[in-house]
Amino acid sequence: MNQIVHIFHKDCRRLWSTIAAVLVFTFLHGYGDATLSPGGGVAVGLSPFAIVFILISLSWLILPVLLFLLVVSVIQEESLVGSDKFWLTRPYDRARLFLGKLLFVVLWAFLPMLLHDVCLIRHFGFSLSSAFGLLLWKYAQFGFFLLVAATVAVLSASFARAVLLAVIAIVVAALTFFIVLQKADGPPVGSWTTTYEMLAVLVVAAVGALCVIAFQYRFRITSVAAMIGVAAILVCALLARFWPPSLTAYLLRKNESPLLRSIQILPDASLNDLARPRDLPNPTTQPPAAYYPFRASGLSDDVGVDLVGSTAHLDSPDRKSASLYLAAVVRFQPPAGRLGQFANIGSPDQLVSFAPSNPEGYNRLKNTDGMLSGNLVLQAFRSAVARMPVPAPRSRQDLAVGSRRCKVESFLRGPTLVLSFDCVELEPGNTSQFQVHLLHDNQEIKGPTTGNSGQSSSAGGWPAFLSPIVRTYSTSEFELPGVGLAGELPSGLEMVIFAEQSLGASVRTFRVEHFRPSEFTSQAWEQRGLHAPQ
Amino acid sequence: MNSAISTHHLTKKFLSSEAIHDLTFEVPEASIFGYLGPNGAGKTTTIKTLMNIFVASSGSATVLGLDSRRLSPERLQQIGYVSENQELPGWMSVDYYIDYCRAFYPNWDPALCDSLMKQFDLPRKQKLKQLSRGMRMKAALVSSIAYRPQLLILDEPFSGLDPLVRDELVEGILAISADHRWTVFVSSHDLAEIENLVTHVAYLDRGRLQFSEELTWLQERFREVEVTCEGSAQVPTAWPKAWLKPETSGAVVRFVVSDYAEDRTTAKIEAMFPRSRGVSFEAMSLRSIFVSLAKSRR
Repeated sequence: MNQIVHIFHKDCRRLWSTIAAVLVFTFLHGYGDATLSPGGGVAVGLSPFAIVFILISLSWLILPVLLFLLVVSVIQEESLVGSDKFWLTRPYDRARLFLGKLLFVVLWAFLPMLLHDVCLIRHFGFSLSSAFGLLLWKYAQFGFFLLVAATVAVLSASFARAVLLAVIAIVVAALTFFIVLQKADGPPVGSWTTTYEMLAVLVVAAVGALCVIAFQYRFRITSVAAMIGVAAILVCALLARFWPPSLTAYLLRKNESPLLRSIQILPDASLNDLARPRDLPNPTTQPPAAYYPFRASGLSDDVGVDLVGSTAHLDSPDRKSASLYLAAVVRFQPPAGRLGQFANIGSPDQLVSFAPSNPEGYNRLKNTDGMLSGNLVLQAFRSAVARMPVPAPRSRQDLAVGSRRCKVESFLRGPTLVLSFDCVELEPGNTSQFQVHLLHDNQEIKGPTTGNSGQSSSAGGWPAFLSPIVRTYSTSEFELPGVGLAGELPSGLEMVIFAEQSLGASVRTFRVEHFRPSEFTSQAWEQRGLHAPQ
Repeated sequence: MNSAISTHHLTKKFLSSEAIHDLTFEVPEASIFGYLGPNGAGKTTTIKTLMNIFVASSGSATVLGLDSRRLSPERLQQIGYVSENQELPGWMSVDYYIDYCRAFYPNWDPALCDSLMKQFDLPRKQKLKQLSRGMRMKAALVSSIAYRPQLLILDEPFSGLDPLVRDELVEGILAISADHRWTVFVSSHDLAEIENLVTHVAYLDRGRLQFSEELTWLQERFREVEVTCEGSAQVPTAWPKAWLKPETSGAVVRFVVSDYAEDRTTAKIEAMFPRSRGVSFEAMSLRSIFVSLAKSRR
């Protein structure tokens, strides 16, 4: 224990400036997340405020670099590369040396970040218990980042070489994945497989990194350790290449919520009064699709489901087969009136479009009475709605809808009402849609005329592990006829805000015993009669 | 007598090149063992293999009775190591460096440390990177001696030092060794540096051990011989292998005998030079022996 503390103390003394920089930038990053609206300010000149503002703006880049520097530096204090290092002939216990480094990383990288996250979570009024699962995932990502830094540190003797090695590792990984995955020609199934596949690849990569570190601490043979690293990259690429979709389907089924489990999507040829499907993503290049009616059952009042992917096969009686994929996302939801629980009118009965992977093979089967079967990938969502009076111009009002906490502000620009929403939610931010409608005396005002989805502080950006919250800034503009220059809002103005919150994904199997593609083209359905899409 | 270090057919290869080959030697306890050889002979590789910094390609070595591959922290507490190439933590002040090292050694002797600091006149507050090369070596030596190691390994400790510093270090090592009967293993390419220091000596050339023995025996068996002949001298064709670098100058033949035994060598010379008028034997310095050996192997 004494040796662990002794090494830790020495490292603190050596790297105090880097530690201080990490702490300062962690604070600045947290301060920026807590106080500044994304895109909400412009620094002018070189005043102290402007400098702080610039540093806050750059903290997303500087902080990871500093954390990388901190981890690399502390490991290279007792470098595992080279034979002239002073510590090699001293009675260091390798396990204690490793623990000393671990203590350092936990105290100066993990703990400040945890404190930063807890403060932000509490600042925005979220409970720590609700954020626990998200924090676990965030720290898994953070740990992976630090593990990568530690891996390049044990294989190099200086920070510059560590950076070079990291770049080489990225290039090697990109090339390996490119070479291994370019021959993957499975049916396009959308992005639904990425979560488990990515998770598995990350776990293997983390195990590989730990093996490299452990090997170097035990044997100090850099070339062999580097080979282990390359082998781990290759294993990751092969795992991604040969990851079985059935395993993803099994995991999705196993982990789905009871709410999602109760939802069924079944083909039903007898359905009528169907809406016209939305246009295909690229009707000019897309091969002609076949449409089949499906009905969603088990939907509760505020829950809908998006069909986001499919792997299907059309099998003819003479054992010929064609692969099909989902041509366009389809939404199933309970029937609801305008401005009810959902932002748009929808239905549990929808036409689902299937497009062939290989149009030539498919054309040979289009007049055959075959069997269509496969998997459907669903993503469920819960729609939350908030209805409240529009706040007076220049005043702010708090609003909670779905998993978002927002501050809404209104102001008038001539006859245009601008509503600005500064919203936060916990990482990774599972609000998939956010829509604002305006009512005047219970009558909907057309709009919004313009609006933007805003920019997030960290959602979907790099690196996501830096912040526990996603902050989104958006505005919606509505034309208010009859508003004069007096700058007063007409009475009876209300806003209705819809937020859709993702409930996770699942996979369902389906089977259509008699499926003749030529009977289910869009022209055939038009002849049968379809009503306009909502 | 027990051995502090012993090697058994020790070989170390770097890819296809062999740095040391089939080394077998023993370093007796309480000896000051000079490990000699020209630059690139494999001295540092041997030492790093002994210290488990390098892994031997074949053969084995024991250090303080333990396989060098299994040198534990406890065993390293009994070994001091100073090398000319060692990278010391330059950001540390001398005081902090000594303090930092102290925590690793339960047997640290603060009094000995203080006296060595004074003896070497080390500037306590200065950072290691600001010190001269000689001062850094002194600091390294203090940090490697103050815990009274059973074995002190010095890899070219005097290389590049000015004579004054070198003498101070030698005196320091001699004094400590005499007081505490430690084993000192010192490598050097310059015999003059350690001639007055060592009790045993081994000579390495191109990775191969040429000899390893006690210095007195070595000096006993090497003699510079001068034979004066009648008329012009000629080197006989059947020349013994143990007689090195024969040179003739007029009536005089000079050579080095590496297996000197007074009666036997005299008789042998008389047999080789029947017309000799006189023979003289002169004891050799370690440096002269080293040079003779080096030249004879070219």
